[in-house]
Amino acid sequence: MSEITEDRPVVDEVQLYHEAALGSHWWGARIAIGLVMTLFGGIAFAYFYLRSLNSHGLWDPHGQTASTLMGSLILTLVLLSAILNAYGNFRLKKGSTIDWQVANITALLAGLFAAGFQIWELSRLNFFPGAFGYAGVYVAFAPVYSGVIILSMYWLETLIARSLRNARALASDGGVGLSSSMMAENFRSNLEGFSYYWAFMAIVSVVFFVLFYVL
Amino acid sequence: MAIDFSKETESGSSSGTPGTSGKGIFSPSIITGAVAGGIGYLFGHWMGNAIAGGYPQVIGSGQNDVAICLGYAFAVVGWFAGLGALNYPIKKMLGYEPDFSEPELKPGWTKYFQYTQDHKIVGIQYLFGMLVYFFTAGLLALAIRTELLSPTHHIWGPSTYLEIVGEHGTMMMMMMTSVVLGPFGNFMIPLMIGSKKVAFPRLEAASFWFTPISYVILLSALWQGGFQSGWTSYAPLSIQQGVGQDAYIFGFGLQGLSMVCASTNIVATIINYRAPGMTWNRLNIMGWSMLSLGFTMILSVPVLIDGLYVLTLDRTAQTSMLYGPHGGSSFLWENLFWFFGHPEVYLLAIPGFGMVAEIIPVFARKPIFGYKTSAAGMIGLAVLSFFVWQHHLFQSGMNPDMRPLFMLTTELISIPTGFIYLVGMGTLWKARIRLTVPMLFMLGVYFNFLFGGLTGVYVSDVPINVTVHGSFFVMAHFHYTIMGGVIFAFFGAIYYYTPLVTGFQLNQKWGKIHFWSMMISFNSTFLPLFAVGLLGQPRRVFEYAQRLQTLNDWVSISSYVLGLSLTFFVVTFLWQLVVTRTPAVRNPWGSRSLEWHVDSYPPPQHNFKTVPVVMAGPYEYADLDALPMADIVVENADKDVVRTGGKA
Repeated sequence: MSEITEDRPVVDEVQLYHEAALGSHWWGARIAIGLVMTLFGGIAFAYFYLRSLNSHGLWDPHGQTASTLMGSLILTLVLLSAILNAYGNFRLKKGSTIDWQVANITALLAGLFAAGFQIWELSRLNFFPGAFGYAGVYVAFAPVYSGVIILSMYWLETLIARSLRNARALASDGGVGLSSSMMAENFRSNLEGFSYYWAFMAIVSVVFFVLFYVL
Repeated sequence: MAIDFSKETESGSSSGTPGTSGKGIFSPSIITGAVAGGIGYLFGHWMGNAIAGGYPQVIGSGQNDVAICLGYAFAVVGWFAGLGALNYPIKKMLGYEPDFSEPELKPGWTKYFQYTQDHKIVGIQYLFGMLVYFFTAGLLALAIRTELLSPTHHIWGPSTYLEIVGEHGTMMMMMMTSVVLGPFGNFMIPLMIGSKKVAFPRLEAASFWFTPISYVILLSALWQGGFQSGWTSYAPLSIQQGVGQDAYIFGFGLQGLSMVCASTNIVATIINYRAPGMTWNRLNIMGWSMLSLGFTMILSVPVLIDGLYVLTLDRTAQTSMLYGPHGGSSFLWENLFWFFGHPEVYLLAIPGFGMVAEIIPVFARKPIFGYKTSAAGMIGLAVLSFFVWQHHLFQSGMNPDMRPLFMLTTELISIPTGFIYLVGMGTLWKARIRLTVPMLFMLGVYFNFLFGGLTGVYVSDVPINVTVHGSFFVMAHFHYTIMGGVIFAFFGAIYYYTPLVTGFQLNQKWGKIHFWSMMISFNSTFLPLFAVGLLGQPRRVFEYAQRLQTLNDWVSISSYVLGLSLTFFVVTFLWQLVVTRTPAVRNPWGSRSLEWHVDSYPPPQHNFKTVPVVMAGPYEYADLDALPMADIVVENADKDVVRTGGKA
């Protein structure tokens, strides 16, 4: 193994690791989905387990839930954020970086408001955390949910900040949405990963809305 | 880079960028991390007192778990901030492009105490970190055995005894999850797949730096009253415990985060960073084991974190999820815990199997028998491990109709395990085996695992499970699988890879003394415990029947010999690395695998001069016409001594 053979294929190292980084974004996003799926899966298990056991008839004896109005508002904001993110991506593929930035800054604000409202709701519950089974599971869900939203918004914020910082440099090449530069490709693969993940979180939000406010 | 004690000659950057050495006491390092962690703890503790100090349950009990938990949480934030780990995430918020460059490392030992992106340094940090974990928990094991020397005369009180048992079990189980992945997965996998980089170097670094603070927090439980609920921490006892239980929660939780970070990186690296020509059929078995391990961790660890979180809320926010009279159930914890806990057993076994399958073909000089079967066995283990957790609850009052199902799934898992075992036997069959120290340890794994694996089949059957549940029989079973399996593989791997990692060869004679003393004393310690268990001695009880004293004394004395054997390893290992420093020769075991075909031992910072082009598999030993594994440029290939620095 000490010498290069004459017919050794030429390896473009920069391109190789660039493509590996793009693949890592793809896999990183899917792994993140796996992680939040099992994280929320554990909470969903707790919900169904305690609900089906109904120990001492104390799962939810009085049919109390957290504020449905607030829950609806939070869900609406998360869905709005995911839709705006998807719309922004659509515009980015058309070459409109500005549209993407406006849509995603709005998506970021919607996500942050959703997390803020979730925390606010937690501080104004009409039941005590240990009053009954539902109460405990809801108190467990709310901080995790708002924490995951905040972390997701951190991810989106880094993308927005990157697009703003590089806007001028990539403007002559079609902008970050169309440029063939490695920097732009890296950005787009990161964004694609985020969007996929955030769409999954929107589904999670719908599922838990049904669990905590509808059923 | 790897272990390098040479004098520092170059001045480092003062920027404090992780991965470089800066000047001044404020440059990120373990010292700034410890200071910031301490400040974080005090701040969190103060905040917790401000928030919850007036609550009736805090005033009534004098125990403020909110303050303790917030103290730990802010200590972790401070620790990472002090290490410089938060610099990059903050830069990203400002829109800076991802920094793919790896700062040049300066010679010397300080880099081993920094937050660095070099996978080889992280591997070495893990190696020594895991050894500290192992020997601390080992000392606790000796404390347990000392107490059990007599059924009536006591050294510890019953509560202290349980503290020691719980601390020993938790520390060992936390450490074992990372004992192969941490040192060898991080160090070797990029080399094995022919990569100069890893996918997420900062996550990899974070995975290690979670472990020291996790260790300190867990150990601190000992002087906070401990946690008598043991490593499984069943509710409601765990809800009623003192603040030592909070240390358990945070220690284990941080180790969970470490596992998540490490597995995310290793999975993405293996999938995306393989060199050209490194097809799935040419991936080292070690790579397959790490892939199976990574996916299993990703899908199981968050559930553990859920369980710990639920426990924390019951203890701090006064929820009642684990308390039946208020609508909860203590079985919720058992299910969440074991949904992680049983896959965890395979998180320990899979990398051990991978390491064994990686090393034995080198010394059998034969291709691995049933390569695809071995890889399939590891994937099968990983998948089935999610469907067996209820066998831990056979005695819990679960629906009896569910027992046969989980008995069946547990027995099914012996099939992929058998695949892996038979692959090893097939590889050894008619081989011209070289009985080097690493090979002896690998053979030891097969011997020990036979006891552990076969008793596992019995224990999975409900009738026997009912009989031996909670006894020393079960304890002997899992020590045979875990210590007899993964720890023997771990030590074998240390002997095997030390020349590559450090540039120094370990003495074979001393290694054989270590192996034989460890092998004999290990079996002498744990084999009688099967009998002790069958004769009725329960675990976690510090008194036992007088008639069992002879067996217990035999076990305790054997455990001291085991401790001496491991002490012998530590002394000789450090002596050879620091004092004698015998330079390694190139590829001392004659391996085909890529990690050995680097310019120098330890490998250079960027691993390979050019990206290797893989042409063949790593195990084609018997095929005289086989191509070399890769077309690769190696400097000094004709020289024996390749270490850069030291006495070479």
